[in-house]
Amino acid sequence: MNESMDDGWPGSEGFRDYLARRGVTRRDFLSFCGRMAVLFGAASLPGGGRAFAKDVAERLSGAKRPSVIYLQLQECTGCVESLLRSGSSPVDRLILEQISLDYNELLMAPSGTAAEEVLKEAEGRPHLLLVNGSVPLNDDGVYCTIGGDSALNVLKRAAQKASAVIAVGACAEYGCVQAASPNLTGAVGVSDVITDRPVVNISGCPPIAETITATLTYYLAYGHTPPLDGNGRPLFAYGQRIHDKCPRRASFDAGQFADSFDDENARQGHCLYRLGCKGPATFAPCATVEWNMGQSFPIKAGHPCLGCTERHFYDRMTPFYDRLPGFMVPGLGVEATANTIGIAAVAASVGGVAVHSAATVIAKKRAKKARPETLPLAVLGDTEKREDQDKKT
Amino acid sequence: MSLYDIPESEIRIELEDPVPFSGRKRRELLIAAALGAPFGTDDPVDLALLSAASKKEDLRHYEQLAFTPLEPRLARSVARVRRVDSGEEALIARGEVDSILYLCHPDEATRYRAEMQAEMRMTHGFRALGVGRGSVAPDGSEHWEFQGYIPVRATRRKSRRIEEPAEFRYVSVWDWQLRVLHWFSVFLILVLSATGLLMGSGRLVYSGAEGFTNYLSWLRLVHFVAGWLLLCAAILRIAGLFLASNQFQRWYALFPVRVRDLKNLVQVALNYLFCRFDRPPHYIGHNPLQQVAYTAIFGVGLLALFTGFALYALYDPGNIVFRYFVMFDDLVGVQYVRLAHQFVMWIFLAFIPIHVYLSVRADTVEREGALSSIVSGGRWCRKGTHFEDA
Repeated sequence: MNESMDDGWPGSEGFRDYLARRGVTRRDFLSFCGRMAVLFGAASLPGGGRAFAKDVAERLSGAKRPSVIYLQLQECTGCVESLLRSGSSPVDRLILEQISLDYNELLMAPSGTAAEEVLKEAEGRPHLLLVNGSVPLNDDGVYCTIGGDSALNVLKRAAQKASAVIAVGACAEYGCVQAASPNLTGAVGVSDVITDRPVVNISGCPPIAETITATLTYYLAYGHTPPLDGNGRPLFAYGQRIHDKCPRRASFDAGQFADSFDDENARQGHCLYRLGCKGPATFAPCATVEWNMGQSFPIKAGHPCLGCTERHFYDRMTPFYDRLPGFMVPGLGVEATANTIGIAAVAASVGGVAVHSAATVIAKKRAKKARPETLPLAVLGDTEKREDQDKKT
Repeated sequence: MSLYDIPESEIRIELEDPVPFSGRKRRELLIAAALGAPFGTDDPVDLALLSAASKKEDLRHYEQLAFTPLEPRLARSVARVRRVDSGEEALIARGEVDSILYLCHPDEATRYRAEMQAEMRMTHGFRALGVGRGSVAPDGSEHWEFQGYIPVRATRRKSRRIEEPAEFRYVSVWDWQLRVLHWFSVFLILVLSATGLLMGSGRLVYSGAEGFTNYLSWLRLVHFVAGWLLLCAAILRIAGLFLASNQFQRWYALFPVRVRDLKNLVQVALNYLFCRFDRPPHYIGHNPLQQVAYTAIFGVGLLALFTGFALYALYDPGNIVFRYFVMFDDLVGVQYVRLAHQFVMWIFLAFIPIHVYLSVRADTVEREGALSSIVSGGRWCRKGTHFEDA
C-alpha cells in the first residue's frame, strides 16, 4: 500500500512536519487536538482541557509514523464503512490515511499472493494491529478463512510482533451477532484469542469513527494505549452512560414517554424508554460525540438505543423494542411479561388464601359435627379382634 | 386395658339414663349394673358405672363372693354379691341384651319391647348393657329377672381448648428492635413496590405528568432512598441473627435444626393442607414451616437488594464497590437483572396476602398469637402446654 500512497508519511518525519507539508495549518491541527481533548474527557482533569490539548499537540507533533495491519475477519465490513463515511475532518482523515496502513482487505489495491506477501512482510516488523470481526473456532475455524488459512491463525500470526492490539467493533470484542445464541461458528472476540496482553476494545456495532481516531491519536501521542474499563474499552469514550447525557433525559425525569413510534409523545420528542431504549444500561459516547461529525445519533433521531456497545447485546438487550425480556410460559407457548406473570401470581395467592380460609371454616364446622370415634366395650364382650373386624367392614 | 391402645385421658365413657324393666327403678338398675362389675376392675365402663352408682348408694354395703368373667360364647358375666348387713345374696348378670333376655326368660311382651328398644334407640354409637338379677333358691335353682339395660358409649375424644385449664402466662417473643425492623421493612417494601410499579407503568405515569415535572425523578429518589434504608434494615437484621439475646431471633431459628423439627415440619405442612386434623406441635417462636418460609423470604429480600443495587451501580461503574455489581451485570445481562428485580417485587406482593392470612389464622384458629406478638412483642401461652422451642 505504500506504493499507492506516493505522498505518504515517511517513517522518519514527525507528524507535525508531515502535516505542514500536506498544507494543514497549525490552527486546524490545534483545533483537532482540542476536539480530541474534549473527547478524552480532559476537561475534568487537573489543568483542564486546554492543558491536555497542548500536551496532545506537543506529543502528536513528534509522533512517528506507525506501521498498521488492519485485519478484517468474520464481520460485515460495517465498521470500516462507518470509518470511511464518517465525514471526518482533514486531520482525522490524514491520521487514518497516513498511518502506514500496510494491510487491509477492503482498502488495499493488491490481491492474491501480492497481498499475502505484504501481510507477511508487515507482520515481521513492529506494528499496530487493528482487528475487525470475530474469530470462529468451531470446526477448525473453517467458517472464516483468508488466503486459505483460518482467521485464528491469521490473527495469531499478525499479533506476534504487534506492539498493541486494538479490537474495533463488537465482533472483535466478543463476537457480536455471530456469537449470539446458538453461536454456530463458535465465534469469539480477539481478547479470547490474544490472552497474553491487554486488548483495547473499541466497542459498538459499529463504533463511532471518532472513538477509533481518538484511540489512534492517543496511541500515536503517548505510545501506549489509553486507560481501559472492565471490558477493555477506553474509559474516555465508554466511561459515560448514554442515559446520563441523553438529550431526552428531561423527558425521562418528567415521566414523559413515547408508547409507540407514531404517537403524540413520540412526535414531541419524549423519552423512548418504553420503546425499549437501552440507554440506561449502555456506556458509549453517542450522546456527546454523536455520529457523522456530530450530526445526530439514534436516540436524537427518534430510535431507541439498542445497547450495541454492551457485551452480548444481541442476546441480552433483546427484545430491542421492549423494556423487559418476555417469558415463554411452559406448556402454553405464550410470551408473557413479568407483570402478567406477577399479577397472576398475586391473584393465585389471594385466591389460594380465599380457598384455604373457606376450607378452614368447613373443616372447623365438620370437626364440630363429627361423631367421635367409637371404642369397643369390654363389658359387652368386645375384643381387639372384633375391633379389627369393624374396621374391615 | 389392652383393649384400648390410646391414652386413658382420651377415653370418654358416657352413660345414658338407665331403662329399667320389670317395674324396677333406675336407681336399682344402676346399682345392680355396678355390682355386676368384677372386684378391683379397671375397665373404664365399670369404673363409670361404679362412680355413678356410688352417688346413689354406699356400695360398701355389698361384698362380692364370686365372679364369672364374660365368656365370648355366652356374652355375659355373672357376679355373686351379698349384702353385708342383711346377708341377702344375689346374682348379677351383665352382657348383651339378647344374652340376658335368654337367661331371664321374661314374658314375650317384655322381651319384644326390650329387643326393639335396644335395637332402635341405640344410635350414635350407644350400645345397651343388659342387666339381669338372679336369686338362688335353697334347692339350688336360679330364678332370673330382667332388670333393664343401660345405654353405654365409649368414645375417643380429644380435649377441647375450653376444657383445658384457663391459666396463662405471658411470654415475650420478639424484642422491640425486631418489631421496629419488621414494620419498617413492611413500609419500605410497600413504598419500593409502589414507586417501582409507577416507574414501570406508563398509564399511571401519564396521569400525573402534564408538561414538565420532576415526577419520575421524585419516584426514583424515593425508590433509591427506600432501597438504601432497606439495605440498612437488612444489615441490622443480619447482625441481629448473631447478636440478639432473644433465642427466637438468632440464626438457628432460621431453619429446622433438630430431626424432631423436621418431622414437625411435615406435620405442620400436612395440617395446613388439611391432610391431618389433630393439633400441630406448639412453638413459641416460628414453627418449622414458618421458619422455612420466612427464611426464603429473607433470601428473596436479599435478592431484591442485590439486583436493585446492581442496577443502581450503573450510574457510577467506576465506584470502588459498584464496579463489582457492574461486573455482575455484565455476567448476567442488565435486562435480565431488571427482570429478576421486577419478579422479586411480584414474589413479595404474592407473599403478603399469604403471610397476612396465615398470621391472622395463627391468632384466630390456631391460637398461637403470631399476629399479636409482632405488634406487642409477646403472647399468652396456656400453662402446661408443651412448647417445642421453649
